[in-house]
Amino acid sequence: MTCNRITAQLDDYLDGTVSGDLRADLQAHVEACAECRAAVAGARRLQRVLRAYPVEGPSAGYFDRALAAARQASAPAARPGRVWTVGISSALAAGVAVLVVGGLLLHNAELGDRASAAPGSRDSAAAASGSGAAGVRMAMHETRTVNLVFSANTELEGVSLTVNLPPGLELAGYAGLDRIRWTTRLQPGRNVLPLELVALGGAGGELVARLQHEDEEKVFTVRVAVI
Amino acid sequence: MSVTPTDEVPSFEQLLQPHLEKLYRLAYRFTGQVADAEDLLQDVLVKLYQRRDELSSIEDLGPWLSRVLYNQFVDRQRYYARQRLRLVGGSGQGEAARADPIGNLACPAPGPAAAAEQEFDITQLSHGLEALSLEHRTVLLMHDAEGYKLEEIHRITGVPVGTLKSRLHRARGRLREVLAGMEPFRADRRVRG
Repeated sequence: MTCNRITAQLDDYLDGTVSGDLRADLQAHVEACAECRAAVAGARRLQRVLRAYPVEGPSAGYFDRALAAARQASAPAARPGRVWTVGISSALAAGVAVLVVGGLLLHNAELGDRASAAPGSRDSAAAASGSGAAGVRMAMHETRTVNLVFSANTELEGVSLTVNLPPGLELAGYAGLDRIRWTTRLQPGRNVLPLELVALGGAGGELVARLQHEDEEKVFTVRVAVI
Repeated sequence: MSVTPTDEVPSFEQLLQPHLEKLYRLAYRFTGQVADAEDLLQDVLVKLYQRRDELSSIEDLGPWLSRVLYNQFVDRQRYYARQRLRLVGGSGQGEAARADPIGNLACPAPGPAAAAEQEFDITQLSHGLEALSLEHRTVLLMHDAEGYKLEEIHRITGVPVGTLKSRLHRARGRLREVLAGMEPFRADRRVRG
C-alpha cells in the first residue's frame, strides 16, 4: 500500500464503500503513515463541516405566501399579482433613479430625483447618458429586453416592485400575466433588472413599474409601441 | 353515503406542505441565497399548481418534486445565463456583501454539531465552494451536506451514477485544494508520493 493508493481511494474509504482486504490494507497504511492519517482526518473534518454547512431559512411566512401565490397565479380570470422574491441588489430611498434602457440603447429616462449612474457597461453607460420620457418600439412578435436600473444609497427590506403590462405585451416566462410583483431586499448600489418583453398583439401601451417601501411609492412609466 | 376524510382528495396545500421544507433546503443548496431559493421554489409551486390534479396520483411524491425543482433550477440557470440580474457598480456595504457573501448569514443558535465545528471558518468554506463549477458544487452539497446518496441524486438529476461519482470525487479534490492554503485547513495537506 502506498500513499498514492490512499489518495486514489480516499473518497471510497471515507464513504465506507470499500470492504474486505482493501479496507484493511488502507486502514493499516493510514495508521502507520502520519501524512495519510492527517489527510484522512482533514477530509473527515471537511465532511463534518459540509454536513453542518448552514441553510438560512426562508423569510417569515414564506411557505404560506408561496402556496397562496401559486394558487393565485393560476387564476386566469382574476390575473392577480404574483408574489415573487428575487435578489435584486439596488436601493429605493429618497433619491431613487430608475433608468430604462433597451438592449441596444433604445431610450432612457431618469425618473428619480438623484441618479447615480456609473458607466462601466454598455447598459449603465447608456443609462447615464441622458434623460427624458422612456419609450420602446417593438415589432409584432418581437422579443426585446428592457432593463430597469435602480440606484440609491441605502439598504431596504421588503420593497415591492410591481410591473403592469399593457394588453398584448407579456414577459417571457410569465405567460398570461399582466401584473407581476416582486418582493425584495434592496442593497446599496445599482442593479439591472432585465425584463424580456414579448409583443403578442395590440398597439402597445404603458408599462408601469411601481416601487413601494413602507409609505413611500415611486411610479415609473415606459411607453411601449408595438408596430 | 357519508364521505370519510380518507376518501377526500388532498388539497394542493395538503400535498405540498410536508415537502416544502426539504424542497426549500434543496433550492437553497442549488442557489446559495435565500431570495433565489424562494424565487426558485415559488416558480416550481406555480407550475405544480397547474398540474395539481396529477399530484395525488404520484406514488413517491418527494423525489418527484425534487426532480421538478432540479429541472426548474437548470432551466433558470440557462435563462439567467442569457439574462442575468447584474449588480452594476455599487459601493460600501454592497461591495462588502459581495466580497463576503456568507458573512451576514443568520445562524444565531447553532446546534451541537455546528458548535463543535466552530474551528472552521464558514466564510472560507463558502469561498471554496464558489470555486467549484455548478455541477460539482451541486453534487457535493447534495451528497455531503444534505446526505443524499448517489442513487438518489441520479433519480433527481438524471445524471448517471458513474458521472456523479466522478464529479463528487473531483469536487472534493478541488475543494481540498482550494482550502489547503487556508487556516485551519493548512495543516491537512494532500498526500504526496
